[in-house]
Amino acid sequence: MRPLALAEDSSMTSISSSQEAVSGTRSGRISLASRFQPASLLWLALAAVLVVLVVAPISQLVITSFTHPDTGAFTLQNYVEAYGRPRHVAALFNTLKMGAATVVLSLIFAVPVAWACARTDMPGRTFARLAMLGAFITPPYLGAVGWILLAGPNAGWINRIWIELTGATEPLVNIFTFWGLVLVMASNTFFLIFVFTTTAFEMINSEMEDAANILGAGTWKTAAKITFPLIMPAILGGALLTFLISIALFGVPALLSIPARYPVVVMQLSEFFGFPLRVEVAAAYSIPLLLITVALLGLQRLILSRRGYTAVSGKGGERRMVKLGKWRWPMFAYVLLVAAITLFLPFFVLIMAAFSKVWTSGFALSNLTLRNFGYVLFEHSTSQKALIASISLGAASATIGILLALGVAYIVQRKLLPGAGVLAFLCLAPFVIPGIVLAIGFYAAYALPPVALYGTYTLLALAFITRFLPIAFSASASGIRSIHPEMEEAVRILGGGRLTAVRRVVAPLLQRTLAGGWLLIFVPAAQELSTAIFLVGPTTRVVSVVLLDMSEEGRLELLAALGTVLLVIIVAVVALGIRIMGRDFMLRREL
Amino acid sequence: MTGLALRGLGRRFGTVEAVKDVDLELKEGEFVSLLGPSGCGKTTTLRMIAGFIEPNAGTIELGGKVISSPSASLPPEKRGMSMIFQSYAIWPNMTVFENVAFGLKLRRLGREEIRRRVGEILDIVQLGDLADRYPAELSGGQQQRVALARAVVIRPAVLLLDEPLSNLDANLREEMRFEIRRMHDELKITTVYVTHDQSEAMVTSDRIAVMNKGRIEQVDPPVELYMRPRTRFVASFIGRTNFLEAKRERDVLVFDGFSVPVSALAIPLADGNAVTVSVRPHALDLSAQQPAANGRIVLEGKIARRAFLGDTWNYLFAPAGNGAALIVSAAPHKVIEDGAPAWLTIDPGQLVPIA
Amino acid sequence: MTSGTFSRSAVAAVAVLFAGAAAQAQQMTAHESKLYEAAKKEGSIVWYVSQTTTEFADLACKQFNAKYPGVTCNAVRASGQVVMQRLMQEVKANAVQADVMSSNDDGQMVTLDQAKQLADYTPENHKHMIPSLLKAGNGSKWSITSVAPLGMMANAKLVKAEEAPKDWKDILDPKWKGQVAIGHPGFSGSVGVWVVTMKKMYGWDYFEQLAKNQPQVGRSIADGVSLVESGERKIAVVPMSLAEGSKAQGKPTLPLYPASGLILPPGVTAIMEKAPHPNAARLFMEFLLSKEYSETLRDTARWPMRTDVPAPQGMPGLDSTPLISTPTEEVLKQLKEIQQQFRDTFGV
Repeated sequence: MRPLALAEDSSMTSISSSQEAVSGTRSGRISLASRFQPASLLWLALAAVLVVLVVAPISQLVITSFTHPDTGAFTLQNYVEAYGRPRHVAALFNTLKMGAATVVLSLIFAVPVAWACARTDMPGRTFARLAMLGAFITPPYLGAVGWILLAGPNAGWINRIWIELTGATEPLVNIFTFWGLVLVMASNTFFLIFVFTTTAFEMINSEMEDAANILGAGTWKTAAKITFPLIMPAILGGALLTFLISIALFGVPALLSIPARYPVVVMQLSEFFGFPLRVEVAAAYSIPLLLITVALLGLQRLILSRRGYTAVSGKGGERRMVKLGKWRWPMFAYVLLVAAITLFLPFFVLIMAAFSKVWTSGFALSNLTLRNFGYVLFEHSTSQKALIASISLGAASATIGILLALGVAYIVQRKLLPGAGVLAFLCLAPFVIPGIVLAIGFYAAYALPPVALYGTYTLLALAFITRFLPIAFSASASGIRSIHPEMEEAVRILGGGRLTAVRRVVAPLLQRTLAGGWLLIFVPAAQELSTAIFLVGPTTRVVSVVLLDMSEEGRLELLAALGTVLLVIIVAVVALGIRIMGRDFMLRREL
Repeated sequence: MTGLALRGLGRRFGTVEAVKDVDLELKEGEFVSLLGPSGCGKTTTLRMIAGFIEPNAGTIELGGKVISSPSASLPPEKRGMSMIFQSYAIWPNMTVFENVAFGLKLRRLGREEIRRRVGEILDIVQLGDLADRYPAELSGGQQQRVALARAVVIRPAVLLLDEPLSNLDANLREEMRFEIRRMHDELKITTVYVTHDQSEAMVTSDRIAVMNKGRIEQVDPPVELYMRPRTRFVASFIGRTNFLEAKRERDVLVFDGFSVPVSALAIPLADGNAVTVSVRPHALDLSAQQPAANGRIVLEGKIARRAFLGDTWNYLFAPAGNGAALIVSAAPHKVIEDGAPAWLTIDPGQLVPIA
Repeated sequence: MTSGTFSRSAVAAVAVLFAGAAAQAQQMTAHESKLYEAAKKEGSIVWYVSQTTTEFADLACKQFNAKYPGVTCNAVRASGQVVMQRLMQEVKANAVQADVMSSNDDGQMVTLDQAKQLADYTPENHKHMIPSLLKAGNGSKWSITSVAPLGMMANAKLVKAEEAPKDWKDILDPKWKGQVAIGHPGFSGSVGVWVVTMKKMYGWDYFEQLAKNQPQVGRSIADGVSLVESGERKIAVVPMSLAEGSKAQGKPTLPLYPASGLILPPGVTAIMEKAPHPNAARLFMEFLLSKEYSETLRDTARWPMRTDVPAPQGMPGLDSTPLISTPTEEVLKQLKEIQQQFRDTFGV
């Protein structure tokens, strides 16, 4: 809204008969400064920030991949080097194969449990949901460590017990294999399919199924013709996301893929990022990963936007629970099995190791110690610092990300400015960039002189903000959507400016939504590894990287202790979120 | 002098002309409704008055000063107006008292002054006991009253209401109409009221501006509007009506089956050969026996269809010959059988020629 | 790298702290006093180190601070690649933060020297060094400040001493199938030196045969220690200091000294040409070669640098143990090739 700037309105004060005209109208001639459109300046400022956070790193990634490291000239040499070796190409196909297998296993985990939680009278449904959530919020690299303790071929608990019991000479399970890799991946990523599918099941009105029944379709026919087609888009959407997340996950392959002799893309990238550093080749090597992600997310959008999904995205109606009868407990046993594999077993042995002098000795009073905690918290200078750094970075990126996203979402939702859609697009764009690829982009754009942010927390914070900006934006946008614009107009017509409206009405009303969004960013940011791995400097390490270093040093007890501390923090924060926002606050997904 | 004037006001959205050439003047203390179907431009007009939308053409003046023009507009917060929104827009994070006091606090009034004035207005809207409640604890009608109190407590130069009653149930809506009018009689605030409900507009307004397709078709007091609609749209939008086509032959209008001298019409006739007149179903009289003419027109025919609506009969009268069938309202005791012969009496003074 | 003896380290640190600064000052040489006075004006020294564990670097700093009050030691510990990357960036940005840099990869020193980033300084303490260690350094550019010779270790519970491998070739025996752990030359410089040396001694066939035994390939050289400690693997190629440390900690570890000799990837330290605190840097370099520091090395089951500090009890002296060292240039030249060869042979 442009302020009035006519010469003759210096007597604007007399507009109102009321005694207390709002101060602004008294001021007479409207000053030059207020003729500027502050909203346009804000747009420019936000656009500039988003260019720094999103546009520059991505374009720098692409440019770098075509740049000769020494001459700076255009070249395709990086691609030749990246994909010239059969081994490097094999890693890409290995990765795709691993992603596909992870999806299959995730479906096996997620869909039955989702159905049981949403549509049946299985006992312990809340417990089941919390367990699934637990598997999701725990860092995947800690799950991998837990599984190494469980299923290392010789010393793993499962194998030792197996050999003890049966006298067998061969181990029962081996985590250092393709399927071990897939199991640990799926343990963390199946949650997305679970959420999507549960939501879809909950959205199906029983009347839709009743309608089929009344027309003569039996239970199975109804399931096949009505229920399944209705949840199919949700399952597919979740499966695609699972695939994308698993092919870009760093922590699990870092621990398992080398011993499993199964080279994957992220490990190849970290080889390029070794010394001598070949950022250009790493950039070139990561471009296909980026393209695959963009293509599959496009496909996912297409699937979700088809008619099938709108049918389930409507208001959930009355739902009839399926009575499982004698299958109630077997169903629960399956849920328990999934929860044991994905959460309880690995984290139980991890926490046990944290309290052990030697993790292989297991339960014994003589083996019990708090020394590991004392050491990682107070003596190991890096781990304490890294813990503080991770929490601060998580908090900072959540806060800044939310504020930034809130500004953009406000402009977009209130249609304050033309071109706001561009800002929204930029906020959502990082969603298509795998964390590790984003890190290469940030490295290429900002690590080296002239910007020279390498080894600073600033670089990490920028990358984290960008990484989680889509979450921040969808949380903010849905929050603002829920506030009727008239709430603000009421402030303005009574004499308050737009800022007053935001401060007195919008902000208080958004408190809960924003707190939820903040936690949704903090939880993954505090444990983020993929984005951090190439951006940490000698003095700026985060807890995930220190944990990985510890695994390299073989200090599994210390690792377990530090990991347990991290878990306690994460669980506490999530519990706080559940307290404030209800059990399902992490289960709602906009994307 | 706080009169409000819209002059040649226009607003385009893309290629759509939402509001076009709107001229309207409100005297100080006048209550005018903008009435029309959805999409007629009434809300856009209201929001231009409020300052939420800038005009593409024309000006809005308040007290003789331009507050909106295509080149510059005073932002809403500097207009000294207030508004009641369709959604009420009661702030859920503030109590009733805080909601109502908000505008006064922005005006930096003293604590005591605020307390006194909020108390007064809450008594007027009968919410004195609920000052400390939060909006979520109030009924729809009570929320409406909070919105009303919040809007008028600042003694705005102009009060704007945007379909304020559309979210209430029927009984409450009827009650609130009178409430709004009573409030206006008490406080005499210049008011613009947007609604698509003609009876709301009738009860509350000094004058009604009927809008259609972005233009104002007619501005008149409610009775005048009903009795003497100027356009086909106004005639059909305000109440029900019959349209009759006629040809002008010098000083006489020739209808199918009867003719009327031009001088007998309700309002003077403009030039032109083909004429349409509107006649209300209530203005027609139906009888089972042939009545005496007494200078009125009597047509013979029969009942083509009938329906009992509870408080009236609704008859469709088909005149003998080629004439168009007419809808007639009759009191419940006036019973004529379906298909029976009947006579229709028309008072020429009730015939309103329309543009 | 890991030491696993933090409790003993802590004891050593406390002992050093109690020794007191005053007593130390009296023993300072003229050269040392001069450096100390100049260093005090500079106030601190920044030590980039990938050579030791974090805990040991912290311990060394504490000891230095106690010995030279007024000069604060800040250790920045990270893995070799990270430290090097960081340094090169500081060089490029012309904003070098590091005064002293310690690494297990003297190839890095060659790179830095070629970039003219290393300062010339011949430590006074060179004269007390074990001759073979002095020779493995570079005189004025860099010196050996730690020794982590590679050997093997076995799990004493699972492997009887008489059955344990006696030399490098013994781990090729099929009876160790699925029981050996090694590192990866693509991730660890020390492993690179080991691979180059093995290839030189036995030809690539050594690794072809080793691959048939399906060793667990970790990343760093230290990976094997915990694998053997936990019994996950029976035998691993590890730094002997870690093997001895593990044994000293009471774990079921059997350190194995191959008959043909330990492999010696040198732990080197250099002063940066553009060090912000050049005198403190020199003082710190002297400290790393001092008697106190060598005693600390000894007390934490590491090999001392000096002739006047004997090797830890139960560990063979470096003078009496066969050592195989491969010239840095040779390792550098072959590294890229053997990395590829290794990946082809082991599939990762």
